Amino acid sequence: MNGAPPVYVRRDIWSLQPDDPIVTAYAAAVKTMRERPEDKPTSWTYQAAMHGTYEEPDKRLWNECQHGTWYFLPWHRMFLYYFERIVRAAVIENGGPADWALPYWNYGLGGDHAKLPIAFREPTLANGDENPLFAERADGMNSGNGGLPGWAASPKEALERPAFIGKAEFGGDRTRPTHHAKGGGGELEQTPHNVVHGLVGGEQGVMRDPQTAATDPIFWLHHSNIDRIWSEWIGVPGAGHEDPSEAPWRAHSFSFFDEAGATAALRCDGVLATIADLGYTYDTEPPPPVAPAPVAPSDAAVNPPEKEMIGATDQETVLTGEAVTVSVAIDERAAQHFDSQVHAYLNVEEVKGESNPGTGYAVYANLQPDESIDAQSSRHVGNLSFFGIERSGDPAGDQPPHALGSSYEITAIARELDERGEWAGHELRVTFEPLSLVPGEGVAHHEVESASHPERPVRLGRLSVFYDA
Amino acid sequence: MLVWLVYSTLWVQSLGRVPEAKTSIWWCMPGMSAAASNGAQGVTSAVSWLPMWLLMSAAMTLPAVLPAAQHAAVNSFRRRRSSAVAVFLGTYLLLWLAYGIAADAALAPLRAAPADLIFPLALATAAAYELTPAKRWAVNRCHRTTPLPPSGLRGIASVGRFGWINASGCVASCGPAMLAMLLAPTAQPLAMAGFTIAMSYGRLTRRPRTGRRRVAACYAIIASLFMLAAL
Repeated sequence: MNGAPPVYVRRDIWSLQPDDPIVTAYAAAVKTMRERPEDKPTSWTYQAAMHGTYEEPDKRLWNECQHGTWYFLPWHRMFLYYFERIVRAAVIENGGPADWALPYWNYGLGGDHAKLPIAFREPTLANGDENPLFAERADGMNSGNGGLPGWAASPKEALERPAFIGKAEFGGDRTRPTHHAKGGGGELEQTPHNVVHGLVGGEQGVMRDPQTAATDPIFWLHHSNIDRIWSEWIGVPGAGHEDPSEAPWRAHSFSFFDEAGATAALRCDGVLATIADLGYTYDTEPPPPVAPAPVAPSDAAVNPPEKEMIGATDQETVLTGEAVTVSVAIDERAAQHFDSQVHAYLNVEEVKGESNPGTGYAVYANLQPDESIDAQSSRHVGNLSFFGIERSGDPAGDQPPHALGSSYEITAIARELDERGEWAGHELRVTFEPLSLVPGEGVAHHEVESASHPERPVRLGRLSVFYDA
Repeated sequence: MLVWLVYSTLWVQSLGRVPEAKTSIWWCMPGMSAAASNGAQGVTSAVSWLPMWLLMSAAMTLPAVLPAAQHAAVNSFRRRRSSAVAVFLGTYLLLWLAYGIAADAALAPLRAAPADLIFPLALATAAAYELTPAKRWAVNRCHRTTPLPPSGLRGIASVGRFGWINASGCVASCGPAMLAMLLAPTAQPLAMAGFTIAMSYGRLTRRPRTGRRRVAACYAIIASLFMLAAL
């Protein structure tokens, strides 16, 4: 026994049977936490409210979730870390395994893995007691009739992003004090994070709204998977992926409560090595890379690329669950200088709506009318969903408001069009194709949540195309 | 910086010609004619006052509104950036001009009141306002952006609307503090600088609620000190 602190291993929930001690201990701990007074920081209500809540006045560290910022990943890593410690303490208190670690839901594997884990589906347990892991979710989720579509659940496009910081990059763009068109979530936040929230929550489930999402016990397994994908991105062999080196990101700290209810703070650069810094790993984690030497800020960090708008729509686009195609006029003069170092981005801006309809959309650029919808198509540039739409203009807690939007890199498509002489002075077709749960084998479409949402329209204020050089 | 330099120079020049009238609040406004500071009205006072008011508004509010102006510029074609910024700032300052005219009329009945009592009362009111839902609404409005069509009359109108939304949020957010600043009995450039810092901080902080509480506390402390000195 060398006295070294233990390394907890987070496991794939689908590798565990519904009656596995890890799963039953989680359920029992959720029940224990729900029975605690709501004003206790280690209670279920308090922990969920730290992510978001509609309850007012808010208590200390409530409504702290970081979305649409470059702190999305580190804040949620810290949030899960302390939540796991609180749950583990409750597990031990209940006589469960002392090495309990939060499982993850790897829906990206598809098939049955894209369905809700079995232990979360039924409202009651075999003994007739209420199932602590049950929550209202989209039609088809709790029944197991529907699964997350590959387009929504796959982290493939996020894992292919070369950088952490930047427009449409892995972790999000620089977040400045004012959110005027600055900052914004990264590719991983959009897909699968936002899309899964919407599809699991559906029209009335709590997962669709950041103010209620953390009350669903599946939330934590969803975020455990998001955190795992971050580790996976860092470990992609030969890719040179690195966490940010910029001081405003690394030095920023957030506060939480530990298992004793005491306040604890962590800096973003203090959570980058999950084993060394936080004492946990994943059962699929590759060998940890050698700790990189401190690097000087990249040129892009010191000299952010110059942006130039080259095209935009002048009318809003309304989404109600049907496929929509919009044309973005590319200005002939502005788009002329498409040099080799220039990148092109499609932005969806000023997204507004009363509530998240629970539907996401696959976004295609330059999809022709006779081309088929296919997530593997090179025309698929990303997904659009609406997690956080309810309060983006008036956030609860102590955060500034920000417009909701999404960015997609379309450099390859733009170059293809430019080479054919169909870029500057022409129109870029942008198609929004609704995503919905995939019915299981033998399951009728009406048994899973429909993508249609005419009573909850979402308005896209503007689509624009920018060069970054 | 240029605006601050011009304003400070004019203030220093005005020191020699403004009568020392501690019972009048208007001696604290450089650029006001002697006639106005003695309670007289007239075209002369408006002509001399409004440009100075615009200069003061620009000096105090532009630091916090520059990100919004940059947003208007970046979201326009390069060849239209200057006009987009001009329309945005023009609309923005127009609303502050209207505020100034309204403030001038509203404060007129207080001309004979002792400035060393009126100022702390106004500042205490501004402190209390920081903690209201109206202030929160106003700050949210300051942060709001709108879709900007790329060209044509729609484009110009949308930038103007963006400027209007920004300015109305800004006036609603900072108006009470500006009123208090207008009543500062001494060291006006210092008062201006202090209020500029407070208002910019409130606009740009990542923690807006914490920011409002801190600003309210600062205002309340300064108001208390002035009140104690006056009694």
